Amino acid sequence: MGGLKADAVAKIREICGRYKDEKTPLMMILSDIQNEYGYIPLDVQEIVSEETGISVAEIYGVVTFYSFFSLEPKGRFVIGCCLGTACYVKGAQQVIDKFSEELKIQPGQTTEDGMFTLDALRCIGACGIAPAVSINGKVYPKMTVSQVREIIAQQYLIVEKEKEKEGVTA
Amino acid sequence: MTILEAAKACGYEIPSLCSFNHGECNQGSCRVCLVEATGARGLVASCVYPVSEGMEIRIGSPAAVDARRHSVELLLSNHNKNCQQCDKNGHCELLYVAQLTGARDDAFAGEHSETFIDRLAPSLVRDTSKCILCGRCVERCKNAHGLGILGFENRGFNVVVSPAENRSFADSPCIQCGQCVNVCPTGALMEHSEIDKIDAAFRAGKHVIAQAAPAVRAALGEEFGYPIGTPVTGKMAAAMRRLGFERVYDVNFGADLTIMEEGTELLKRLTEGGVLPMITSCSPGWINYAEYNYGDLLPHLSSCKSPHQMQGAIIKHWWAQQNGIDPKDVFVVSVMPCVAKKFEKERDQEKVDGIPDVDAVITTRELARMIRRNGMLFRRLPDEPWDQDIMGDYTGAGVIFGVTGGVMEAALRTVYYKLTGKEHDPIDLTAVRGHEAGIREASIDINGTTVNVAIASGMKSAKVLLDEIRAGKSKYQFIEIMGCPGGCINGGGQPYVRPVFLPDEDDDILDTYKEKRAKALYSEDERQAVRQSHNNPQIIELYEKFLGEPNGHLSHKLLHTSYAAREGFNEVK
Amino acid sequence: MLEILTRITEGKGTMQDLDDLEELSRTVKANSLCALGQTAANPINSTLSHFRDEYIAHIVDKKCPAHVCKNLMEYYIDPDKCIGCGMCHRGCPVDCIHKTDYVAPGHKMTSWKIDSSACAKCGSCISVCRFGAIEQGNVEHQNRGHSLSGRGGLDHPRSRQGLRL
Repeated sequence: MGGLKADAVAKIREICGRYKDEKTPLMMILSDIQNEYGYIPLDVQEIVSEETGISVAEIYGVVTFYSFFSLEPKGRFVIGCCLGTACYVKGAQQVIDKFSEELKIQPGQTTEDGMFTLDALRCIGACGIAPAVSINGKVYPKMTVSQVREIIAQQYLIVEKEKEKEGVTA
Repeated sequence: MTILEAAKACGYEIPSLCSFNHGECNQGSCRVCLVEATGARGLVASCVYPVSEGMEIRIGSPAAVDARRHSVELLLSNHNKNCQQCDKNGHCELLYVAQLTGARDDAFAGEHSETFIDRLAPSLVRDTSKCILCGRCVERCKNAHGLGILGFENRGFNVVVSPAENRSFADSPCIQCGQCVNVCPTGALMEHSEIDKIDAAFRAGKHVIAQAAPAVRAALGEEFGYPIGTPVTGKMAAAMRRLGFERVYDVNFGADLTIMEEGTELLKRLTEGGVLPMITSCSPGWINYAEYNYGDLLPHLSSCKSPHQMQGAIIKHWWAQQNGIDPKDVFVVSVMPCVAKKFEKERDQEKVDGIPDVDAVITTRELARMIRRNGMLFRRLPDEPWDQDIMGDYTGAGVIFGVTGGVMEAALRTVYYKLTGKEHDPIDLTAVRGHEAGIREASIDINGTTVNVAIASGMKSAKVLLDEIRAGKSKYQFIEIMGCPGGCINGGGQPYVRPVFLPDEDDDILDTYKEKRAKALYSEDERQAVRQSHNNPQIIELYEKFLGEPNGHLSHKLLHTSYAAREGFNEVK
Repeated sequence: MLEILTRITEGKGTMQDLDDLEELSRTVKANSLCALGQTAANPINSTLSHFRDEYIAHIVDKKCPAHVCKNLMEYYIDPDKCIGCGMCHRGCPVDCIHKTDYVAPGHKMTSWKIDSSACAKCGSCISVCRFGAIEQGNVEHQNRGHSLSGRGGLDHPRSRQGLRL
């Protein structure tokens, strides 16, 4: 089970304990872990298995089934391009292709510096503002290929601003 | 009651695949058993849909017949159709159902999913090109052991049934018991065949000795059309001899030897305050489970090797010596109802001076294959005895090893004698017998001392006993644990029990086959002249002439082993 | 279903494929365990019944009426309209436009020809040609020398009435 820090192990056990009275706690536990750490590797699954009595293979199956759960760490910014019907006919494929080209990764992958993960999403219900792109939950309406570079640059600015703030308060 | 069961009662067999053993492995997922039923919207899966008063069921309507055929064709479209090379041919339920439903060749030809073949585990082979994703194996591992090693991974076209991370069985806490092999309808999960190892040994001119476990004789006949539970010991010895083995011995002798060693060990622990409760160690599936999950309780295990390993050691270091043969030229083959023993024989702890006790392990099914390959008509063979030079004579106590409770009973017969000087009367200790799932317990009064024993098979039951020991609350002195539910008669290497291929058996055969096989062993026990291991004349002679005394120095070197805690999900290089 | 549709968009479809698509869609709807499976074939069912003529155009005429399927598009230089200026050749990103030795009556230079096996269907040539010599058409263009405009309709002799599900 190597590699996991003691406080992480404790936190995961605590998360499992939150739902110990539920009949089917697995989804909620995994959801909390995904929100907390951004990914659920095998080591973590083993702990969840110990706490819940659900076999590791079953937990692994749930994690690989749902696209919301990830086995590997996601980037700082998760760029989700909707490829649902409305967005698709409005040119979403070209948008995601451009993101792919600019970031030099394929959908599903994360950039080496850990900044961006590119995901292809199914319909997110924003058809009126198609094509829609969601970055860490913030939805950018009516994306065009020409806006892609600008949007990426904006994310870097956010990180810059955060660093500045930390520098000021530290 | 489901439509499938109701139809069976009325004399209809609806083709089905994922449903197995009424309810244990019922998914309703293969979509092969579809029928029309009033009150339902569209077609229903008869294996899970319950009947109700006044329901009309149409099995043979064009829509239902077409639908069933299409389901099978879709399964075949993503299947490895190289049936000639597949060892499951003859027992394959997919092939059977394809013929039944009239599936057309290449009806929905298209891309195949990426497939994986796992040959790393010595006991099992997983080939996903033959998997139909029925989920029987997933359910079996959960129900029999509470382990759940296998699961469904990914989604859609990429779904694969595998251990977590699509690891090999060898890199996961799989105990390699083979229960999943017993339920798989296709050749996706099979035992790792070792017939070619035996062929190679013959070609290399080795002295090839074969030995067969007690549980094999209770089931081998099924492979040749005998009703379940027919003991075929005589014909089995005759067949093995005709396969060319230089000697054919009965592992029951090894079982008697195990009782001598283990009985002495238990007595020592009882009288000298050793680690109690002591737990039997002849089931390698169980040993795997202990090493993966209960590393802290390993001192409770008996240090005795399993019977076939002990006998292999005696063959290589005593029989060989007596016959002027170098142990390195001896090749020992064990015929077992078990696939975990394929893993056991490879362990370093099962070697003496670098020489493995046993070189190849084949299952009951593999033996049947070899017999057929050599052209023998099993039913026409005469009944022959085993070879009995130096070893091979056995008692009834050795025979019952193959059944849950059997090791316990055999051990108690000897322990009782050693402590009281008298044979237990009656000889049968029926308190420890039984086939239902769960834990059995009994108390034996020996000269005023009460010895509490427990018996469990399947890891789900074992876990209860082990957690009690961990908590310091166990009230037993001696526990027998078998990896396979019901004991070796239900081992991962035994003939497949498929009602579909057993037209002469009763409909409830899946409920009664274990009992029937067990009866075969208990009846052979009753027929033996000698019924206690300590009265086996060849065993007595073996100690006098070679080993010295049970648990003595030479016994320890040859007949005892050790255990070590292991990581379940190890680092994969 | 995806594989059959892909083949049709690549111009490799057959009328048998339409039958297979319908059979498969029926099977998926009738046999599936959950509603996701039961409705998975809906796009195919609805497009087959409302746009059957487009399916047939892809299969029989090897033509994509919506001008989307790359494999079914051909760019063709009319040798009699081409004056041989070579602008298309200069603009071609994959260098698939080559000179022929044909001089059209009334012209001075030899005309150019597109090698359709190397053509990337990018459309640059069409956009630079000032003489309207380049056309988009269906696959058999080059062989027949003229464009086929046939669109199989519901009354096309080789079409079948779609099955309503």
